[in-house]
Amino acid sequence: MPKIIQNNLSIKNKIAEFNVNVRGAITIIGGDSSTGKTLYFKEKQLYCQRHNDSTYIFINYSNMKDFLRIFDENVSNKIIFVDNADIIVPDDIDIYRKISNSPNQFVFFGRDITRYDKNYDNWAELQEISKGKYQLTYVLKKAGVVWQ
Amino acid sequence: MLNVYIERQLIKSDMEIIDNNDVVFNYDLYNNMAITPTIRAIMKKIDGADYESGMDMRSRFGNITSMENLSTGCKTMINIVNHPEAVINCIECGDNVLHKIIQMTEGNILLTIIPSNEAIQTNIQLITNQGCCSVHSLPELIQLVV
Repeated sequence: MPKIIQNNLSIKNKIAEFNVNVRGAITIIGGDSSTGKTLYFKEKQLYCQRHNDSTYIFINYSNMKDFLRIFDENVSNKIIFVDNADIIVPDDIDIYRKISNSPNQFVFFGRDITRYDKNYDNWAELQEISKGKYQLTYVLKKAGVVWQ
Repeated sequence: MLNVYIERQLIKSDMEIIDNNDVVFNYDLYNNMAITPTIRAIMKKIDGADYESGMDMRSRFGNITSMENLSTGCKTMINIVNHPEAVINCIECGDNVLHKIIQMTEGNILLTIIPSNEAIQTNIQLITNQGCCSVHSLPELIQLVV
């Protein structure tokens, strides 16, 4: 099952600062558009590439097929960031089961929460608390309703 | 009128469905997308960004960067403008962008996540299993589909 590899996923550079402390092995970061989600993803990715940090795997629209390879190749003990998750993660129960049985930590950037986790306690947003400074905040309200 | 599909299977098979808005936008950007006043206004409204030149913009942080770094929601709204014959999947858009998209008067969208309710006027044709109907507000849209 998913496990926490690291709680503190913060990053800071000249452009922006992201204070991200997660409380679960699966975190879904959603909320409004233009709240820094992809910027955070890219800053974290760049940092890890620059410092050869192989703890992380980054998946977005440019390498969508790598998401399913995580399960096919039994990847473990990684922190997996998935941007564009609503179009990358297939909407079926089999994928949800694979995520639930995967010994990794996941951070999904998306809105359709039930694809990734049934626990709304893991739903969070990035809030800009001052210019260029963002904080991960867990939301209490239910995520957007998907009626299809 | 903005055509709103709430189910993928209601979309005619000869219509393109754009799911990956980042890819389509980025492709257009690299293939001489015309940065019209409408697109500049969307960039400013959604991302607080100002067009500079070529493929560059000044972000709300003040730095010059590629328009590839616009938010997915912003790119989605621009795709609706640039691809009026296609159906644009809005699943990746936050409520702030969805509230603006549903006020558009042209284009086609796939809307599978309902935005939060606000008193917004719309000029929508809603396509459902029961047929088509005109929808004049977001509260009316929510009442029809939930």
